[in-house]
Amino acid sequence: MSESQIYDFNFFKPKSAFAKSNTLLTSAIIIIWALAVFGFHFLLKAIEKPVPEKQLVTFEQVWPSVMDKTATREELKGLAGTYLNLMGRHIPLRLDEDSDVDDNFKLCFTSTIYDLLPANERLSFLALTQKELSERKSMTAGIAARIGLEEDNILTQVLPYALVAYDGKPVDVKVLEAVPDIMRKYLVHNRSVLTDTQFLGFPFHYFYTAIFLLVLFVVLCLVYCRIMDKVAVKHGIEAEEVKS
Amino acid sequence: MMLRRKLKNIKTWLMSASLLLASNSAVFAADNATTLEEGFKLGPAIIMISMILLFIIVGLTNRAKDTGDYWAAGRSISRFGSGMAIASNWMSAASFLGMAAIMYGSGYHGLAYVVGWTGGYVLLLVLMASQIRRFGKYTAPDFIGDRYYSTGLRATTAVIGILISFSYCVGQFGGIGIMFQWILGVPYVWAVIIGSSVVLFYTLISGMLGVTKNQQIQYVIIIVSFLIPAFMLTWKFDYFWLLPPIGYGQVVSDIVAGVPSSDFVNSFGHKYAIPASPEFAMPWDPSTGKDFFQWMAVCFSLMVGTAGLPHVIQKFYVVPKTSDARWSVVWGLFFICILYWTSPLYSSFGKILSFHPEVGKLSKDAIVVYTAQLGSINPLIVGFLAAGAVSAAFSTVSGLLVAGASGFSHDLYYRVFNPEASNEDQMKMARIATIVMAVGVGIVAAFKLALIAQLVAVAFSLAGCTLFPLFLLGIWWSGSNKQGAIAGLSVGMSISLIAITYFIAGKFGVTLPCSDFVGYYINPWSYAWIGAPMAILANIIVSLITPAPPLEIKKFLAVNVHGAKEVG
Repeated sequence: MSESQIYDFNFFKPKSAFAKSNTLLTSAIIIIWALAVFGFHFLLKAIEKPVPEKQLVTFEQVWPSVMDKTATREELKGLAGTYLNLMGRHIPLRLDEDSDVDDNFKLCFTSTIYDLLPANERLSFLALTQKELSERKSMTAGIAARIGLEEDNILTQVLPYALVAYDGKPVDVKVLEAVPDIMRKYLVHNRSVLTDTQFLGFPFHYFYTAIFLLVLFVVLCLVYCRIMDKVAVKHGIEAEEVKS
Repeated sequence: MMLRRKLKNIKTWLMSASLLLASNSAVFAADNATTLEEGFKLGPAIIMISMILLFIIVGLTNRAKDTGDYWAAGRSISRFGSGMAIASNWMSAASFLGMAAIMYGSGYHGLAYVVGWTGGYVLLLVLMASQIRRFGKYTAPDFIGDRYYSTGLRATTAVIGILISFSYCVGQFGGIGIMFQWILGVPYVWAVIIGSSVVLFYTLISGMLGVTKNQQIQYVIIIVSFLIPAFMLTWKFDYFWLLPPIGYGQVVSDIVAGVPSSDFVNSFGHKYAIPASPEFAMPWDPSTGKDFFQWMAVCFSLMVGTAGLPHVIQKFYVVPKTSDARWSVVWGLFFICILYWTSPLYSSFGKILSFHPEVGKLSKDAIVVYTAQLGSINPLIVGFLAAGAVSAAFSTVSGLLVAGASGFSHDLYYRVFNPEASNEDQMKMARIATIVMAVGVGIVAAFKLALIAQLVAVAFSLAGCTLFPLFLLGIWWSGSNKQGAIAGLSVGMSISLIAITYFIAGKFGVTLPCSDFVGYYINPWSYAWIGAPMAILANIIVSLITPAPPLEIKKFLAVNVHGAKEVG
């Protein structure tokens, strides 16, 4: 064996006793680390199912009749509630990164309210939508009652902000056609037993990722250091440093 | 007489303090979201100025005497102290502000940053820390230049190191700008100029020794300022407050299930309530626009990037012994985790407290501070929290500026262009490089290109694609040679160049070919998922078909780094 070959070093073929212990320990730590992080998330992905919220179920039921213009007042109430629930989450609504659909969504909501009001209340509603937000706030209690929101429902606070200036004309079909996509994007969630089980108050998967994995990382590092200190002493590595 | 004067002084102090509190309460009692952002805040300003003065005094009393002090703190820091410095150096504006910002906007996707930025330390420890210390070089380019026996690679990796420090710094200056803007009520650009001038001043006068001592103080400020409001929020809203990182779990579940009503209110008097919002906690929720692949890619990229960051690796040279290098990682990671365990608490409370539409659209990057404000935390404590954010950005920026300056002065000027340079010349060049870099970063930060954490993630991908493969193979395979290193580095740099070009073009509204494909698979936050393996593969293939490295390199690696016995 040439001198060059004697000093060859390869992680997978360690030669010295110290290197063998070192690579074995390193491999064990990396395997545990990889399984804990990526293995868990592959598992999470494998067992998840897209689960619609009840608002989406309601929406899917009433939407065909809304498009046919045959929706009953009760169906329109359900639809308005779904619109409002989504807007109440205070998240920007987008179909893709560049298309902000917040205003279109508000328009659909406002027109739905218009449709479910009795004919004699519609004109005053149109006037209300033209008013400043500060004025609108004190005038929406009646509308909240019309769509079945009780006074203490938190969505009543969202109502004045969810309306836009409206002239009573039918909403553009293209705007309406985008609504089901928005609903499906925002009201379907990836769930499984790992997300629906609670642990210390957390959804389990959230606890695992946000708390447990970090604990595991610290423990892995601690174990590695303790073992490596012993291995280094055993093989006389770092001995001069220890003396100094 | 003396007693009367003392009592008078105390009375004056108390009156000033009450005036201070009153002035701040007035600011916080206003009735719309704009007041969360605007106006000069006296209490927070005094806290921040005192803190900065402390940093400068510590910097002055621990001045760098020569290049050894400037770059590696004279190798005199204990493992516990080094752990604190690692944590403080690490916990930047991205950790303090950025992670909560991403979780506030993108829910579970933000946890990829939490896991990526901590899990990378396991790799760093088992694959690099003690080996690099045993190799015994000052800086990352020193290691690469010697291991791959190439001045060209030394120079190239020095430039890459400077670029990494630069892009990392841009995120920090952005964070400093946002906090100075919040505290001083000045426009963002002025806030960046003021903040960067201060951090530049004390980095110049202290260097790594002053910086390392300061970083230990900064760690205490960061963690105390971050934890106090966390305890107060959990206590105030009746969650398990004795251990806030566990206590906020119920907040997450409350967001998923919805809080129909409660007796608690936020600082605007809105009820502590929110409709059921499962998208906040469910994995890769479609509503966030982030999917499973992106979660994994970001997480992996941040991990390999962590193990390749020059300013982190440089910390291993400041401990006296190899064993200390290892233990400093454990301490460092533990100290980091204290903040990372708590960070999602702010996004969770922020989600509920900002539910009411009247709160308006808040800047995500400052959500940590806004959450404390909305939770009616005492204004001075919120001010301390903002000062903690500034401290986090300062500690990282100073480390980055030292790393960038040493890349220029030591690795480029001294080792490549002027090996005869005296210590004084090198110090002069280091100071010039620090100034040039700080000015450049300040200018780029003024453009506000992306969220803080995203800007920082670019630096990680760059490090993961370029330096990480060189360290990994350089340490663990003696067959990796100069040609292989050049090939690997070229592949890593090419992928980086594509990702960053597409990102910048997109920011300026230019659409390049296949931009959807590149934007998804090679996006700037996570392109190391493909860049790192490709660079490693290129290094291995080219090393196998070209001559093996010189005997002395193999021998040094086997004997000094991996403990083989010397023959003959």
